[in-house]
Amino acid sequence: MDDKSRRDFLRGGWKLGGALLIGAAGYTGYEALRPLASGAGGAKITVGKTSSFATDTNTYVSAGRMYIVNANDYLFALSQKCPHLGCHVPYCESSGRFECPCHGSIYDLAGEYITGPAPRGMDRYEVTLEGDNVVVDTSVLKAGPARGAKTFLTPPKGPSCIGKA
Amino acid sequence: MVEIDPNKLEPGRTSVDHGLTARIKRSDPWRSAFRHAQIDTPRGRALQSFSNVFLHVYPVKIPKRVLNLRYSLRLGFIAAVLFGILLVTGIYLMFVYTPSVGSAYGDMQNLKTGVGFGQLIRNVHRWSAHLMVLVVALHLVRVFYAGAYKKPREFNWVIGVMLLLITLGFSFTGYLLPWDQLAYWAVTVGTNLVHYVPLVGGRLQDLLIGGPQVGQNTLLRFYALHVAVLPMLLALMLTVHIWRVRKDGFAVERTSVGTFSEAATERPAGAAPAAESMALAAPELYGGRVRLLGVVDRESITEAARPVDDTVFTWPHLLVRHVVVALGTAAVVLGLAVLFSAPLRGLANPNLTPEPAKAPWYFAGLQELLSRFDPLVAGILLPGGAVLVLLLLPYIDRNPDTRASHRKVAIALFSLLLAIAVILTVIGTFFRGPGWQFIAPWTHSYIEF
Amino acid sequence: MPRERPRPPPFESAWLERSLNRYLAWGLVFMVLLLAGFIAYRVREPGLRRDATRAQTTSYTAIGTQIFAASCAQCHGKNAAGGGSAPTLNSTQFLKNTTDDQIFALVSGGVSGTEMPAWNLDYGGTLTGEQVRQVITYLRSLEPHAPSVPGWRQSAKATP
Repeated sequence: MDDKSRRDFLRGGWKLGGALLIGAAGYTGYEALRPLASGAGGAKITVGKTSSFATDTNTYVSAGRMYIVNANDYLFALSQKCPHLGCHVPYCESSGRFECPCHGSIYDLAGEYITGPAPRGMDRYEVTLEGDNVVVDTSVLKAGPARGAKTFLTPPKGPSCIGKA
Repeated sequence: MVEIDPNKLEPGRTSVDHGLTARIKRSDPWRSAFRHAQIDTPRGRALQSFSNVFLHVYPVKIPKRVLNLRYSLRLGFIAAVLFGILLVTGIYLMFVYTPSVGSAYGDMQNLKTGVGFGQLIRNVHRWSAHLMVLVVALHLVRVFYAGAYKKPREFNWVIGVMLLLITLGFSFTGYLLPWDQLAYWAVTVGTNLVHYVPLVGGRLQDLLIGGPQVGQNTLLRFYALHVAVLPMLLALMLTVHIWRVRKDGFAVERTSVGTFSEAATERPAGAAPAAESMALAAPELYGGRVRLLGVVDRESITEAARPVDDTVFTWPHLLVRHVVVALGTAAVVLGLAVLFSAPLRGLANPNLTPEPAKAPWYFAGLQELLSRFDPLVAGILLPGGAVLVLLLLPYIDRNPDTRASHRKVAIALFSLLLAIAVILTVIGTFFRGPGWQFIAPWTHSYIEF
Repeated sequence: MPRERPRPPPFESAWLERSLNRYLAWGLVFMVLLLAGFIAYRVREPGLRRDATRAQTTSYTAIGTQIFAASCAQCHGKNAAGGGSAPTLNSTQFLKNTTDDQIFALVSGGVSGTEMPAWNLDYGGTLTGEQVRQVITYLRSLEPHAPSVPGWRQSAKATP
């Protein structure tokens, strides 16, 4: 091997080795800073008797950070987290809808998308009935209905809380 | 695409490369970031230094003797590399550590059981810290024997001794942070030693531990010292240290009597800075026609000023050596870290002193002294006096000669003190067991790194 | 490096280039060593972590047992089996429904209106946070064999 090809080989080796070392350092950093896997998934929460959720009302359950809504006698457990950028979506008494104050996304009582920048309706937890008890499994969060869903849409009861139609 | 003028090619290149990487490297964005290609010609090697801010730590050319590994053993540079490793791993550790009595120890446990590479990062931090103390001390010894503290380097020696003290301060403050038994009692003993400082001892101790005993305040204070105050001090002093090494002409010429060659390392007389900036501003404009005066053969400047050219280009000669030494240092540290884990004893318990309560190895000599003499003598006066003598050494030893045969007294005295320190350290580290009883190291080892 | 080649004089340009090559080669060696060390640790890490977790659980359980016997057994009963003035902790009802964080908060801050005091040093108690965690580790170690005690909340004294 002559001097020039030896130098070229070494130079190539350094480039490859340097790249691999940077990769190893990056991987180390990622592994070190990755959040620890928390054993606490979501527990099953018994939120109450079926009779305590009257038709077309909602109940906030702070233990699960969610609303239990009864829309037209269907029970849903809606996550309070806006699917747009994670704000807490409050219920607007005057319009009877969920209205996000951050960027103006509006959902009907069942969490279906009406307007605003959100990509879909509000996300839901699975609700099951154990006898007369309503049980919510908070370990599984299902993506909300697509934008087009209008199953439970009703006209607004009154003026919007965030100044939108 | 910009038309390439073949006349602007470097000497030795005859054709224009049309490959993708070659095209990217000729593009405006690339050339705005990397002003010129990496070229193995004298001009190319000089340009590497001129156009790269990070290489301005080095001069463009350095005396040939600096390349000699046997001269310095690169100890100072290795110490700086270890500091760099400590900085990076320390920042990683800061992400996963809370300096609170309630959670510090739990965070240490988490490093072992949960955080990816957590134990490895801690091991690397620990081993680099041990090695840094060792290497800085060896650097001091090496500089003494080379006589490199003599005029004009006196003050740089003083800064170097301060850097050693800061390094020890790092070790001492870092020792408490895991909040295990080892940490708690080493720091309890160390801070009680401060109490014996004449006049201000009590107040100094109060300032250091911030309470009646080592507790939450101490942990927070040591943490702040360890991650903010000391790094800042060290970076500051290191900057001055390195800058002075460069200004004082790097390695001492051993055969000479108190001379140093500043001219050899800095810009040769007569080199016009304007030419450099012109070439920097638009190298392609001047192409190969305007040569950098710093690179031109000496005859063309002034033959009389520089009879012998004893310099070589920093890029690539010194730089590659430095990078290789840094890689080697990192490899050694990583090897130690993979093979030997940093210890973690039980949670700090103020009601139970463990047996044996041993200081880290670099304070073991001090602990050995303390077992024999009064704390004021052994803990304050002797080490304090030694540090003072070290600091003032260049002003005490006024002999300008750097040749060993002409400074026998200085070398003999220093060697004697060094031998005492080494012997005390070895006894304290290897030959002491529970109750500070003498034990043979091969029966049972009580050292923990 | 073949020996028959003439050695150039030191620090002249042929020597410099050749020694540069030698250093570059050493650099490659060190890079390989670094990568090998990295891989070696990565391969060993899951085992190391498992061992560390096991060792930690064992030692925490042992210490937690002592702390429980010294500080908690008076009210919660020997081995948390109840019979004192406080709830029976060794019961599926308690252990299945209470997270570690909840137990930590209860032990640290106490339960107002009951005999349960705040134990954490931060709230004027006597145990460090780590010691509370050791008690929790001990309680968790009971979980696999915990009996079902429907009346776990009632203290033995409250029931007539």
